[in-house]
Amino acid sequence: MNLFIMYMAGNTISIFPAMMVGMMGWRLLQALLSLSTTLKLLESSSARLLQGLVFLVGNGLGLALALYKCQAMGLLPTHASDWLALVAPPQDWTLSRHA
Amino acid sequence: MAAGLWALLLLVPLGAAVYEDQVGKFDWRQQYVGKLKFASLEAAQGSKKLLAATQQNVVAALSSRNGEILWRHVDKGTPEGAIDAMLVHGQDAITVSNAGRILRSWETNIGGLNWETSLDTGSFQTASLVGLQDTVKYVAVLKKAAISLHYLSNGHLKWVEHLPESESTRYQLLYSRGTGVIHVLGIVPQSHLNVLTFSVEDGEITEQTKVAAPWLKSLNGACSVVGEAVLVCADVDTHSLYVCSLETEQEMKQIPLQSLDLEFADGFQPRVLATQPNLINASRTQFFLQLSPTHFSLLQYKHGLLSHLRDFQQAALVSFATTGEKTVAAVLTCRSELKPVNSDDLYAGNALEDSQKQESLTCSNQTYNINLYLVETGQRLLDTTITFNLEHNGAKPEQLYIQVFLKKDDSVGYRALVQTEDHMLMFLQQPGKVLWSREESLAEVVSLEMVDLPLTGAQAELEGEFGKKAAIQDGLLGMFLKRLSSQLILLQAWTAHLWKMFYDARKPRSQIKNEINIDNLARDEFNLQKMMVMVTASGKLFGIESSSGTILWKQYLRNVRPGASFKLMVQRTTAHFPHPPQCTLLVKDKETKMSFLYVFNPIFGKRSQVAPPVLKRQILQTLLLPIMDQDYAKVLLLIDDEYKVTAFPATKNVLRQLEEIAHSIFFYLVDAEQGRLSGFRLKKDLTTEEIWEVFISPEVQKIVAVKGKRSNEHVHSQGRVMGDRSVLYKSLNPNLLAVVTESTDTHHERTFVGIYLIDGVTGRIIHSSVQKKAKGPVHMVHSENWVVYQYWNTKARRNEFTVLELYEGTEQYNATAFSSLDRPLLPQVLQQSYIFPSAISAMEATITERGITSRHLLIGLPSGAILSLPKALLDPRRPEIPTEQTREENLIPYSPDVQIHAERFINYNQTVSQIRGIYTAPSGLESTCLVVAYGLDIYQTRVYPSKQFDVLKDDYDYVLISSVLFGLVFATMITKRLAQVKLLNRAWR
Repeated sequence: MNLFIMYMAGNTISIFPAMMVGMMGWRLLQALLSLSTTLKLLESSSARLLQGLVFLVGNGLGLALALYKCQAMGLLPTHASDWLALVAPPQDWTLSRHA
Repeated sequence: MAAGLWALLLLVPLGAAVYEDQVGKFDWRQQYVGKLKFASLEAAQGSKKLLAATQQNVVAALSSRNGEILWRHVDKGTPEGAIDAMLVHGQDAITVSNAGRILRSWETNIGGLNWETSLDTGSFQTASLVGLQDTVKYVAVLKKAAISLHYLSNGHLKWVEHLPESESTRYQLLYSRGTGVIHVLGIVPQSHLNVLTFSVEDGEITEQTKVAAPWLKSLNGACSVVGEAVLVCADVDTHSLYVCSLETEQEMKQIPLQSLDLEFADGFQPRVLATQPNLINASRTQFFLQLSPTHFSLLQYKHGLLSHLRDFQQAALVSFATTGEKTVAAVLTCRSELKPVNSDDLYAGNALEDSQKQESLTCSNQTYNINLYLVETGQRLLDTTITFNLEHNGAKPEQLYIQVFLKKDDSVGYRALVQTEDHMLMFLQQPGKVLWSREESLAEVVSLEMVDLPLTGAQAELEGEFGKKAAIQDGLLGMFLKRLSSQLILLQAWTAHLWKMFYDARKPRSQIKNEINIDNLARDEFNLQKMMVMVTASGKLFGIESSSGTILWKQYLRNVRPGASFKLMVQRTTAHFPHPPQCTLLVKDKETKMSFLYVFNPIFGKRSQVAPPVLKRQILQTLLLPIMDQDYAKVLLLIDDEYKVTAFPATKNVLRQLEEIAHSIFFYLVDAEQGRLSGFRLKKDLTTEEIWEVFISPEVQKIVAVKGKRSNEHVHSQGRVMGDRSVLYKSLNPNLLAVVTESTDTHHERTFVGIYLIDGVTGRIIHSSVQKKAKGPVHMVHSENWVVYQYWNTKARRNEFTVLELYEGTEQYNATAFSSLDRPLLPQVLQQSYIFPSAISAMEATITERGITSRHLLIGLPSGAILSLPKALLDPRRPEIPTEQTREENLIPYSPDVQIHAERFINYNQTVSQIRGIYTAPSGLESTCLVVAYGLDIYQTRVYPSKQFDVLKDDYDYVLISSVLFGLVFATMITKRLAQVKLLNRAWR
């Protein structure tokens, strides 16, 4: 379902797709943070380890999807141009600027 | 279609014109006329104007009440517009301009053009009004080989006659006195005079005589016509005057000067000054004979008798004026004795002093008197003394014009127009009141710098508090007390400021007067107000406050001769309190090529105590280094013609620093005549060694301009973001020079303009290109990684812009350090050309504090408008076919024509005549750039190339926003209270 929503949201940066991606990422993050409580719920289960792993991998996949989506939308600062404003001008050691 | 759409899109955010209520809020314009060439003052008490024709090719009328310009006509700034003569008759002013090609008549009340006719070619000699019977009807124009007569009413030609023997004879004088004939006087030097008499009616030569005058070299100055057509000439060799009646005699009569007890000064060419009050009557029989630069004599030649009326020793200027029947002579004298200038008074420059001593005779106390004398008798008229003082500027008077009128009691009253050496006009009234004065030297600004104003007294106090000297003197307690006191002063200043704001807020806006004078000068919050230091061609310096245009100080450099070149440098800014800011002016004489330095404080205009080095050789180049001496003055290096370097200041500290960094100091020299560019490197003993040379053959092309980058320029972004989000790095070589050449062959098929980009340290030619079929004048701007230049395309007959941009590519060679010596890769050069619909007079790029704001080009047009053209329009990356990526990059598709949109004029209707330069300076606000355009007029404004992104708009609705805010807060409080009540009620239930 997430996949479908992300596909439908498109790659343009506007408020709704951004919100969707954000919500998705946030939900997954929350789920991951509440891993311990989830594990507690699973204490009674026999295949506890497997279930936990599946939960982790599922959430991880979802997060990767969100990141991919961000990348596709151009929100991740992975290009040189994203850091251009922080590039300092090179220092010139010769003095020849004429007044 | 797509291109049009893009252009439209681009236009929308760029409509940067001012709103109606912003007119004059941030900008001002001052209009000038220039140095007087001819002036005419009406001889009536109630007259309201004076007419002037000036060196700047302006015909204007000034109000005699306040000196304002009533009307002004500006001709071309080139010699084509030069005014050769001005004659005034009644309501008409006749001017001859363009080397005697154009004759114009102006209506003097409103400045309208009555008529204009073009004259035949031929070198112009003189012009004169010609009267017949009792009216003035014609204008006679004397050329080298012809004389023409025009009707005064419509300019139509009455007749034109060739002058006989015009190859050998130089015709120089015209004379008529309403008798129906015109006398034309020509001279064959050291042989004889040729006197022609023309009939006014049909132009026939009625008489032609030759008068022997083997001693005479030129008529101009040495000869004049007095009385009833009597020629008077002065001869310096025989110490005598020669007289000859043009109508009756054929020989010159010699009158030795000894008979009058007079003598010519050695080596001075004597002059005869006569007056003809009414063109239909004879001249006055009285005339001035100038015997030496300061000695005049009033003489009379009547009935064949020469008599001496009065002697004027030590007079600087004389002038005649007539009202009604009375003709008076005005004499400007020194109040005290004249004496040669004390050489201590002159500013530095030994070499210049000696040559000037001879001519600079000036009053010791700079106080002058003007007196009137009746010409018939030479008697002084009582109560006609005007006394005035020129102490504050030290210039001497140069021209004197008198306006006389009869008072009710039949006595003579007068006003005087005095022009001084420094091109200041003063209008004086008895007994010495200056009615108004105009600083006409500002019509010829040659160099300009903007200097930050000092901090306010309170701020400076706080800054100085922790100065290093103070810390040593006072102990801990002393420092603490000092801090308390300075805080108190700050508090006091703040309350005073608040009080003033409160007080002003109640008054209507128009009444608030923010008088700016030299005492309350202080920097404003955003450093928008600066001191403009202007250097004018006359050698006068001005300090002008930039927000209002008030002249706060002026200083005349007496030993600057016309044609000198100037270079103004700021050695210390105001940032180093308590050290005063310091500017240095390098003045280079045109003929001797010798230079001297003048060091002064740019805020107060006072000459600095620092003694500049005496320059014994001519200076070829200057270099202002970023290193400072212990007093925070930047070090100035002066390179002389022996390639030796003089440092200023030259303290031990500086010399030590120089020794340390000498190996990294490079400079270049340009010899345009020999087509040689050479680079030098400084050695430790302040000598130099040549390290490179580029030769551009002067037989093929001549160097017309060499431009580096501005030293105060910051470039924020090191590259450009491409459509695919990679970076195209700019090639930012701070040592890059752009050299423009023009071909010596000016044939329109073969003429070309060349451009060379040369590294100023290594001499490496980074790029060179030739623009075929192109012609100058070339205007160029060199900034960041681009060069824009403009030229005339002779093939397509239009003006074109070419832009060059330099890029390193997608990788930077060395991101941390730059060195011209280590650049293995040549930059990529992109180039594009555009058609511009107008010629241009000046071009400059905007500059801002940190270089974040986008750049605009400010282009001064001959029409007087200043166009602000976004640099994005002159971008060689503009694609011919737009793609997805270029659209992503916001590149405008290429279209060859750059249009002039009136809404891009930053000076709306405040045109600037004869623009010669545009100066830009950064302000404290990143969005704002200060602009000064100068030419005949001076215009100052601010521009916001990326709009005012860091300031709230002028029309920001403070009231609405704050009332909404307060309303919301209030509503919250009420609803909270209501909710509490409701809760309480529910609990009770």
